[in-house]
Amino acid sequence: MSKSNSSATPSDVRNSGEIETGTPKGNRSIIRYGIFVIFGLFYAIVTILRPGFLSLGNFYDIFIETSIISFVSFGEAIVIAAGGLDLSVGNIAGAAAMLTCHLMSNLGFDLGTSLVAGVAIGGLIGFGNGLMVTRLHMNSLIATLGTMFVLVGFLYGLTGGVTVHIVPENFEYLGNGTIMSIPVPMYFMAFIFILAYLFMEKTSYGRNIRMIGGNIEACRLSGINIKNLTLMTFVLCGFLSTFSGILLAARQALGNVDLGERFLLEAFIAAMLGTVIFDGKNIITGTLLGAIFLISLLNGLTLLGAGPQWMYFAQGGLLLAAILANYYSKRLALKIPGQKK
Amino acid sequence: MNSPMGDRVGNQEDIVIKAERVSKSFPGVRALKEMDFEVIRGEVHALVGENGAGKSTLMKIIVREYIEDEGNIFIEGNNVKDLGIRGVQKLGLSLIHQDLNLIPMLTVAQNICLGREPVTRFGTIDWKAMGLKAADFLGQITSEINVEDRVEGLSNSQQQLMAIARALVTSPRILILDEPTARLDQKTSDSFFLFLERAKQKGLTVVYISHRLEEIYRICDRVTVLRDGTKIITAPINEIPQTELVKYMLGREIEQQVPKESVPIGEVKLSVRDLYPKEKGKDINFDLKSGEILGIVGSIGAGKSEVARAIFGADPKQSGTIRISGKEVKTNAPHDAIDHGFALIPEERRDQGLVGNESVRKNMTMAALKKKFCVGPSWIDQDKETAAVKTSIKTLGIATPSPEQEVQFLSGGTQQKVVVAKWLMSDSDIYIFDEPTKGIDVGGKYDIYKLIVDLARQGAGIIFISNELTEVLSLCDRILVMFNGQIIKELETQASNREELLFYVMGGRDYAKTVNDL
Repeated sequence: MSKSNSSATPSDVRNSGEIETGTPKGNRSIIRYGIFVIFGLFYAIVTILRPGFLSLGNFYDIFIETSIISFVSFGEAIVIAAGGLDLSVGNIAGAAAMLTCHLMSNLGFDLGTSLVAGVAIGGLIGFGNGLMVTRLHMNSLIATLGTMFVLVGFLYGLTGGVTVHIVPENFEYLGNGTIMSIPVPMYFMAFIFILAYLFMEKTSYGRNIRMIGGNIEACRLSGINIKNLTLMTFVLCGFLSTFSGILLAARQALGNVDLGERFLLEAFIAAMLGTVIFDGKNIITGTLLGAIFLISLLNGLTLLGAGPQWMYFAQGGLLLAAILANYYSKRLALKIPGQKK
Repeated sequence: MNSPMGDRVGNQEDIVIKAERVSKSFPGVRALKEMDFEVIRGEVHALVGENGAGKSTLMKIIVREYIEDEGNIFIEGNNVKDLGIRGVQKLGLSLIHQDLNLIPMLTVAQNICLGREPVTRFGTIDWKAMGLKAADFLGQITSEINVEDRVEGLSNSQQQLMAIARALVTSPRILILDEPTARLDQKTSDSFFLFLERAKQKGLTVVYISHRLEEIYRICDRVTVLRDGTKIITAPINEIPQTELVKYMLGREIEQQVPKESVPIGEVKLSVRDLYPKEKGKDINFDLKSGEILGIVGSIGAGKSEVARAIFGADPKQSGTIRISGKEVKTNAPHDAIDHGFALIPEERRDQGLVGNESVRKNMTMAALKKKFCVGPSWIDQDKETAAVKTSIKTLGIATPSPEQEVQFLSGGTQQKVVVAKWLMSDSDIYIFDEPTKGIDVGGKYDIYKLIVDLARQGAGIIFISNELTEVLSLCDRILVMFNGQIIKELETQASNREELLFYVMGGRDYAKTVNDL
């Protein structure tokens, strides 16, 4: 009885229109600083137990790995910003890498053509995802889940499941080479980071993508082209995912069918952390930080000699924690008088 | 109308609902003040009053959805103080809400039997029995609906009939209907009234909330008028003429609080011809002149918002032409309409007008970002944007600590100003305000009226949709009254009054004649 009473009250408060100006910012920053504190503690423990964690060589490892997952993470973050989800990122990365390797090594195409084909296929798949979501009104989670499995079929079909071992040296250079003793993938990362940052923070496209994620109906009624912008997020995500796949293949100097699988989980974690860190603002910088946190966590666990089970526990736990933090920061933001009871 | 109910007052046996000095407050509002209310067995009792008079609140207290702050309620002599929703259902009471609470994916039969599914002896759902049971209840009202159809495929009218059928499953002896005909079309209305007649003969007691005079006089025995949370009168319906009833609902004139000033009215700006919105409404024709504030009134479900949304391209239209200064324009989507200078201040500002977790600045510039604040195709000129937003905050008197404040933390009135500022930024000159003062306090309302008058003075054309007759009468130059999807009356504000307006809102015909007949 009292239950039905209290459930009626919040809507009446809302109808009466007055929300008191609260100070939710303080509550929300607790979550952000919580992340920094937890990771800080972890690093301190690893450093005490394994001083090698702070070595320059290990830093390079961390940054190369971060670079590789950063692209797919940016892509996922952009899709999430507009209110969607893309489950096919890992397999897009895999398809792009595999196609590039197959064209170069098995069919004898030159490096440039192969790379262009690899990147193009990612954009194309993203376009397909976007069409399903915006024109066929499919839920993005379901649509990209379908794409994900179609791509697994594509990957097996391409080489019959056979790993491409021999790749040209100049391709391998993309993953393992250095310029002025800085690894090549880091240049790519820096370049794409700047572009993605400017796109999201300084252009009307990026601004409107974020607004759509906030309230799609208000955007539609304000004349924003919600369909094309949502489509654009999927194209960008597909396009960016290919960079991660191709650079990983170059670094491993081989292309195999399950190459991209790890990216889905990693990109999700980085993007979710990225959304929480700056409170939903500046998601590209946030996602880069998220990627660094994630990779250094995995790196630290490896140094501590943790087995694969711990890696998965850590990643799964981190993802859940990031989603939870996201949920709570929104809840805190929306807290209005009357909901407390 | 033959009503034997008037002389049977006082017999305790026959009073099935009795409310004694019931009071109820919500934060900031006293919804009911020491309300007394009685319903006699076997009657159809009309409950009327303006929006916010307390009709729905009283009914929700009676069925225990809300709990009163003070007072007592008796159903057939039982005090319901400690009874829950199920408890009063067992006493034979059932309420059909304005919002139907149906589950669209399920079939008609599943919805009707929800929570009371017949089971086989193995404890599984007996689908066949369920279909028969549902068909049985539905058959009491209409033969048009197939119980195997999914609810999402039904029309509004059919859904409403279904909701009534669902209420019959508990075999109620007292049925409370909250504006049941708002969603019904003419044909289904008739079958609904037939059902009501039959049910009454079987001894069902009905409390009937409605905004439609014709219906009230057609089917009700007695009427209770509520105003501002208090009971004004209860009387047999044939003792109160229609115009008297309207007077009871309105009470004394409230002093003018709208800063209306006369603004020169210019040329015809917008012409709407033969508009048929897809959702609801037919044959809509009107003109709007520059500097004019045109009111559109009508009760819930009359189709006001549907017309606004069709003009703006927010919802599709079946047909119709829209001209701006004589030139035909297409508004198939909001961005078309915006390009032609339309602005919509939507009814649900939080769901449709604002991006709550974004700043005042971004909300204000969202409609004009590309047009006015970008260098080249898409590079945002942030200095220009911030400067424009700051100016706007100052001129409109928007109470925000900074342009970067998230709009969800602002008061309702301030949020509404941000929505208006958004359209000012995009140089709109035809403004459609859909219930702009809903849920906004008195001070906030005043500011919004002032804003609207300012817009009119600058030569904009304004469509002002509202349920509050007082504000429409004091703000608008001309008023269109909608009823059941059509414009049934056009009134010049100067020559009209609240009685006349409410008379037409409730579907009355020919006010002058009705008054003269008295």
